[in-house]
Amino acid sequence: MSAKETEGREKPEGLQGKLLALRSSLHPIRKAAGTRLRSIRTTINITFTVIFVAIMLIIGLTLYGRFVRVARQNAIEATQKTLSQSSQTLEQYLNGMRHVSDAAYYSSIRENDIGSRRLLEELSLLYEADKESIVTIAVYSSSGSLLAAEPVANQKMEPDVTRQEWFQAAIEGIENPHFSLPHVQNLFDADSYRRVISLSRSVDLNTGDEPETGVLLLDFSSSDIEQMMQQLSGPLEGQYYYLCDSDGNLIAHPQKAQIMEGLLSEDTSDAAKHPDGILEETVNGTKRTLIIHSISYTGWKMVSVIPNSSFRLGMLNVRLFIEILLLMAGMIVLAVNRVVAGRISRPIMELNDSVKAYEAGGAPRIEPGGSMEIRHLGRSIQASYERIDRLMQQIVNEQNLRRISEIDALQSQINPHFLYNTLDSITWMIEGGKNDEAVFMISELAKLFRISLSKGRTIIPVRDEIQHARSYMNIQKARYKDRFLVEFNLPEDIMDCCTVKLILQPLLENAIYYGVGDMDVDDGGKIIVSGGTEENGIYLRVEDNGFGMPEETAEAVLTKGERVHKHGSGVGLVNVHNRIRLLMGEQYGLSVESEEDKGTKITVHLPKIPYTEENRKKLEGKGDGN
Amino acid sequence: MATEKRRFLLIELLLAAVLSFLLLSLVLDRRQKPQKVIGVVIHQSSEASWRGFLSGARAAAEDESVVLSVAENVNLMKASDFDKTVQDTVSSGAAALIAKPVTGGAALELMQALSGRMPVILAGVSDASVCSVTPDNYAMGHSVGEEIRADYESGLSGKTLGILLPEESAGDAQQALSGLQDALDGSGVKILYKVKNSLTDTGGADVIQRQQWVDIVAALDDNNLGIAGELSLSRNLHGAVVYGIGKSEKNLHLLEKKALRAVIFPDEFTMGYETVQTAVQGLSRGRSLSPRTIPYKILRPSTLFAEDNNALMYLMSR
Repeated sequence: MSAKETEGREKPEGLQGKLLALRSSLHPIRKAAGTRLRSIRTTINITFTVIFVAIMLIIGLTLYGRFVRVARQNAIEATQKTLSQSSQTLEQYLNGMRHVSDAAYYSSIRENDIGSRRLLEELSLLYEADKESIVTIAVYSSSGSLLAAEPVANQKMEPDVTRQEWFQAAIEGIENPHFSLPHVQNLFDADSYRRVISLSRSVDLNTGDEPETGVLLLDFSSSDIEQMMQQLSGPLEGQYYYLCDSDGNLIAHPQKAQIMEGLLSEDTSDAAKHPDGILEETVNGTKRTLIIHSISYTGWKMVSVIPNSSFRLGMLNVRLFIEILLLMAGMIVLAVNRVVAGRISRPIMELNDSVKAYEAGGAPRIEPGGSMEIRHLGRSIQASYERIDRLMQQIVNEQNLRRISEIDALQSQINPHFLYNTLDSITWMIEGGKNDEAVFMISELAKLFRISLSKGRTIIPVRDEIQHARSYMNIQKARYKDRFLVEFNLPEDIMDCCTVKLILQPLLENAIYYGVGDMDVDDGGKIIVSGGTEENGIYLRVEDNGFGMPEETAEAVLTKGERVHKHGSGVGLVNVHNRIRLLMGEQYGLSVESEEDKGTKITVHLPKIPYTEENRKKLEGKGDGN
Repeated sequence: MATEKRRFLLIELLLAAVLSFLLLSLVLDRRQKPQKVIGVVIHQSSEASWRGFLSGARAAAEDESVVLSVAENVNLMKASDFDKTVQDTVSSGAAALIAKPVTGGAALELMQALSGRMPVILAGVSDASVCSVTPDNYAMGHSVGEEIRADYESGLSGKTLGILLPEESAGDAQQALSGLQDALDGSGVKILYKVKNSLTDTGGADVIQRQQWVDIVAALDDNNLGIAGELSLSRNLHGAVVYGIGKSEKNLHLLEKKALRAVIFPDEFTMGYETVQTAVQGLSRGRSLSPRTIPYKILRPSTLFAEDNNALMYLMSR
């Protein structure tokens, strides 16, 4: 909207536009607020979710780590227990064989002559007592000759017994029985080859006169030990057990055949040298845990091997379970957070929607919901909007009033009667040859109209308003043939102050028509225009010594409408009074004093504002409601 | 608002999809995974000569977590019997097949056809179009000839030789025979007979005894070697010295008793183990089958219990 459009002709649209502009000025604030509100909801959502997920992750990882450690520890302890129990069982088995060997030696061989029938019977009894396990009980001389054997069988001719490991170990370790590694028995003819473990010891033989050294051999099936080891199983998948001697030679292993064939390998060197306990090692890049337990009397080691991957495999279910739990909790938390964030932010969003509706031109109706603070905010915003609406309406009303007043004031200047009478007087003067007086009248009329228009301005200097009044009075004096006097007494210091235009002329008009206009020359009618500075500003005064008016009329003249005189312009005191109040403020305007037959004094109260372009625009803008 | 709701639903859907995947993993992990079945079809599988092979196969099955389904003691001398047994094994759910066809021709064609849709491994016999795990039959036959030459040195000229072969046409015996003949080529030994026999015990003994008397008998399969060894032990082979290819404990006993002069002993345990390993590899996607050659040992009575043969004796023992 241009300033010209706003000035006089299209003020309603201008006002409407400004109203909408005012409302729209709230838009950036609303937009910013709306953006912040959306992020508040999202921020609440994200913050709660992140915090919860972080806490759950920490708890989950801690629990999982703890569980893994505990589970691993439990698996190791369970394995150690198994190893201990199995070792005891194996030791009992080996002790059983030792007891058989002891019985054969101490009860039979030492008590009987070698080759005696009783010896053979006792050896036979010992064999029969446990022939499921015992393969052979045999006695050899120190030169390797077979002296006695159960069960009876043909001895193989080829093998040199003295070169077999069990025989050499017995001869070398005289005091101690010796357990060999599992091997295929190569002593007697048999239908099948038997895997045996040889328990051999050096014995003293009763051969008659002098005792001789011999070797007692007890071959028992290695399958008992192999089965015992095969039955061992760990709590973890991939875990296995094996038995080796102190040099790392395998005695029993679930994959012994594959290892002997070279299809697989087992590194037993570390386990064989390690004391009882737990050993962590890496073989071919694979980490594993060995749990070692020694077997008494033999130097054998029972070893449990747990690949570290077995621990992880065992924990797979737990890990999956924890992940599922975390995921479910996360989904629930996400949904709950959304609900909570929504509930917290909904009243704010509704408030925002209400503001949006108002900006779009709706009624200032704010939905007061939510927490105490939001409700207070809503009420405050509603009160603000209502106040804005009232102020806007007030501005509109004032602008309308001002427009009407100015239109009326302008209308008075082009009142046909006044113009007609004035032109008529000019015509009369010209016809009467009073050209100078006619020229004077025309020039005064021109001045009058020029100041009336004042380039469309509403605020003019006091000087111009006085000139307007002078021009008007000069015209009227000519018409009234100087029946009254006019005096102008104004100090210079107020001449360059701001005033509303066309305020003195109506007062002078009233002074003429209701005061001195009908007085005779001899009555000495007089109109005095004066002015000055007062406490709150400046004043302009029009006073006459005419007929005056009753007090009650004087009191009501500014409120009860205008008296339209048939000779007057029709613009009354009320118009002037309202225009001054509109443009200058309500504390300014007219004050009327009158006494019948004494005269009337009307004072115009104005602020003392120096006339500058800036002040003029401010005062005129104030009148526009800006 | 709508955008925010859409985003929320999208995230929840994504999480639900991941949750479903994890739940499925948990259920599948808890459910015992069905083990894959590998069918084994060999002639007279319960015979002692297959003990080493089946031990190795079972050990490999346990290591690889698969199940072996061995056709029990089937007579596969007829191609139709072999065909039926193979079809029965496949229809029972075998995911891979290990077979030792006794007959060639149609049996091998069946193996070739099957190898197009499942892993098929031939054990003990080689074929150009089907993966095989087998000892070098030609080399084993050649070794028999070399042992004969080593014992007789230049004295083979004028000696007579009888060759015993199994009654099969799968090719392994033929390859061994070629090796033997190539080894003895130029030695001056005279081959008086080449007899195919698959009868066992007395039936087989009769077949052998009906042959001309020879100085040396070379048996190119375990069954004939055992029969010839028994005859030699009981002095019913007219003083002939027996050499051959064997894989059973019985022939080791005969060797120990010197009824056999030398035995070429293929590593049956390794053959059984690697056949199953190869089949398992074939079950993995994208892995092609690679044929393997199995080693063998040359055994003499004096070396039977040598340290080098500990593994063999361990596997042959009980």
